[in-house]
Formats: sequence, C-alpha cells, structure tokens
Amino acid sequence: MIGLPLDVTFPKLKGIRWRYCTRWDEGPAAVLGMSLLRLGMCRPNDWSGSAVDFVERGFRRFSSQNRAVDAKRVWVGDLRITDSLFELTEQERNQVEAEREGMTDHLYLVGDYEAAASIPIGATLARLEAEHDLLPAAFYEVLTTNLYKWMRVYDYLDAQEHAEMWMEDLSDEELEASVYRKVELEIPACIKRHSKTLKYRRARNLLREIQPHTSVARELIRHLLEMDAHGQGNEHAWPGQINEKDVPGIETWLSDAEYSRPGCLITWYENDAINACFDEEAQHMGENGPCQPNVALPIHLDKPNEELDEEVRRVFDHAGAMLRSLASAAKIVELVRDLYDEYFREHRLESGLPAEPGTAGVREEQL
Amino acid sequence: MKRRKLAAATSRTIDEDAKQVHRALEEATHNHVNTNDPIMEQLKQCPEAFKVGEILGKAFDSLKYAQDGGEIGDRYLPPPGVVIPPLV
Repeated sequence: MIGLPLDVTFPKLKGIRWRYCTRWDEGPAAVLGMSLLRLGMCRPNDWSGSAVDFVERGFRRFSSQNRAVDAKRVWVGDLRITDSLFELTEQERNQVEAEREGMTDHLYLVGDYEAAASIPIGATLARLEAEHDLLPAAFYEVLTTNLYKWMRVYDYLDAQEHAEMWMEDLSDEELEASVYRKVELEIPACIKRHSKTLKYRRARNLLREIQPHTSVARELIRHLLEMDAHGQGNEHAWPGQINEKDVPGIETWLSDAEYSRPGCLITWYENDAINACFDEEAQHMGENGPCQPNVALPIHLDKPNEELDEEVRRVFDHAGAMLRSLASAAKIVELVRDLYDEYFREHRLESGLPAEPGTAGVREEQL
Repeated sequence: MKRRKLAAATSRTIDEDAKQVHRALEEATHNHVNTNDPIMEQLKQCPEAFKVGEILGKAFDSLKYAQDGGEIGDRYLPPPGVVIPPLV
C-alpha cells in the first residue's frame, strides 16, 4: 500500500549541531571549555550552545595548527579528550554514571593507534651506510627513541624477546626450521655492530655532524632532527605513570588491562622474521582484557582556575609536540617506504606472479 | 584615529563575547538549561521544525526495535552517544 505524501516540509536550520550530549558530558566539558577560553585555545565564536561542541571545535583547530593532517598520512589512530581511559559499552557507561556522585572530576587526553604503521627500514639503512659507517645505527637510535615518546614501538628487540621465549621448547630440528632463529640472523650488521655502544646523545650529535652526499639521506636526517626538536622535553605519558593518589582506582584498572598495542612495526623488510613474530603476538593482543592506551594524561577539573589552566596548557603542549613530532615522523616513514619500494623493484625476489601457470592454469579456489 | 577607535571597539566586543560564553559555560557546569542556545532560538522562530521532529521521532521509534521476524531487543538504530557523520 502506498500512502499519500505527507504535507510536511523540512525547514533548514542553519548551524545545527549533529550531536547532542547528555548532561554528564556537558558539565566536565564546560569546565575544560572555560579553561580553553581563558587560554585562548577556544574562541567565543566556537560557541554553538553545547560545551562539548565548544571544546571539540577548539581541539580540532589546535590539532590542525599542529599538523595533524600530515601525521594522519601515516599514523592510524586518534587523540581524544575523554572521561574514561578505556572504551565503554553503552551499558557499562550507564552503570558508571549511575554509580558516580556528581560530575566527574577528571578528563583524560588519550592517544591510541588502531593499527601499527609498517616501517620496512632495511633498504634505508643500506642507503645510509653508503654515506657513513655509523649513520644507520645513529638514525635507528634517534628514530626509535623519538617514536617511543608517543607510542609502543615493535621492532627487532621485541621479536628477539618473543623468539627466545618460544625457542626454549623447540627441539634442534624444529629450531632449524623455525622462523624464530631468523630474528637474530636477519639483524643487519650495521645495527648489530653499534647498537650496544651508540646511544641517543652521541647518535644525535653524529646526525648533526655528518653531511650526506645524497639528497634522500639529507632529507631523512633533516626530518629526523626536526622530529627530535619537537619532542625535546617530553617523555612518554604511559597510563602507568598516573598514580593512585591522583586518580583513585587507576591501579585496579591498569592491572586488569593488557599492555598497549604498538603504533608501529619496524621490520628490515616486509614479511621478515620480525613481521612473523609480530603477527603471532598481535593475534592474542586484547584477549585478556582491554589494551592500555598508548598515551594518557589526566586533567584534574577540581582545581582552582590558575592551577587548572596550567595543567591544561601542559597537557595541550604535550599533545601539540606529539602531533608535530609524528607529522615529521610521517615524512620519514614515507621516504623509508619509497626507498623500500625502489629497492624491491631493483632486487625483485618474488614477483607476486608465477613464472609458469599452475596445473591447467586454474586457480585452486575455483576447483 | 578612526582605526584605533575601531580596534578598541572590536576588542571590547570580543571581550564581551568571551564573557558571555564564559557565563554560558559556567551555567553548563551546574547543569542549568542554556537559555541562549542559538539552535533553540532558531526553533522558536520556526515552530514547524518541532512538528517535523515529532513525526521523525515517531518514525524512528517504529524502527528502533525489531519488527516482525527480528529478535526481541535487537536495535535497528545506534545507541545514544554514537556519532554518525551527517549525510552531505
């Protein structure tokens, strides 16, 4: 049955919000919004009638001013202001709110990654080694030190740990055939030789001193020193650094949670032994509880204005440094990927297409 | 001279705007209903919007839970709080 059309017109309301929030959300956002307004991060014309919207508009502008668009080219994740360290279902959230007396006195700046960005660095290290014997190790050290400020990094050290654990139970024959043995064997000599002795400060000085001949090496070093400059004075804000006195209940929350998901995976080349170990570990991440976020900074809302503004400024300074640093890191990762692709084209080991067609030239799944 | 006066006037307006927003935020911290919500103002000027909202609300309510053939309690609409990007 088709009914007659209703005599209804849709009026167009200018500036209408697409999101409405509960009072639970509005109260804490209003306290933060006042602070952001005093600090000049939010503007009067950000006001649309909702405190959450107000904060969001200021936060979006702040992120865009700190090169979030560049960072997003490589890093898959988000930086958010939230009242909970972990994601809650609607039911859990309602329960938390029902049990809470009054407004929450904490908000958190939380940074997390949905996927680990692939950094196949082998070809880049070979290129840097052609410039200077110490350059690959120096580059690797400064890059990973800076990435660690904002994320958990999965690299050959994690793979070594994983491999050692599993190799304990293998027989000699199994060991010979296993991928775990390859983790150690595949470490490039330029890293193995110097990784123990070349620490961050010396590595950074070397990067400043060495004058590479090729433009790509110069670009890599320039972006890395830029990344390093953005991260100066910042340390990784792991959720584990939040103490029980500041946020009651945090220890229980964290003890039920798993370690953070990595924000990047540094391999020598794609599908190598590090990649294999990562894949094995990734299958079980989050099985025994929620994963801790990579970055968590609390904002205590129950402070006098001056103290609150100071804390908000400190938290946003950290967020700004993180975004700018990750934007520079994104440029590095793009160059690393280009070098890998170039190397892959020149030294193609597997073409991805069989040289000869299979039996009867028919794909298996069609049989 | 004129430019200086204009600058002073602009600065005063910005300060006044900031104060007004600060007051609205202050009210929001106490869970007060915001009387200066620009959307509410627009709705007052266009009461038909309420009628449209009501009709849409009823239409969505009928979709909210499973109809014939669906399991009881299945939601057809996302729970409150979920952000859905607007259709452009």
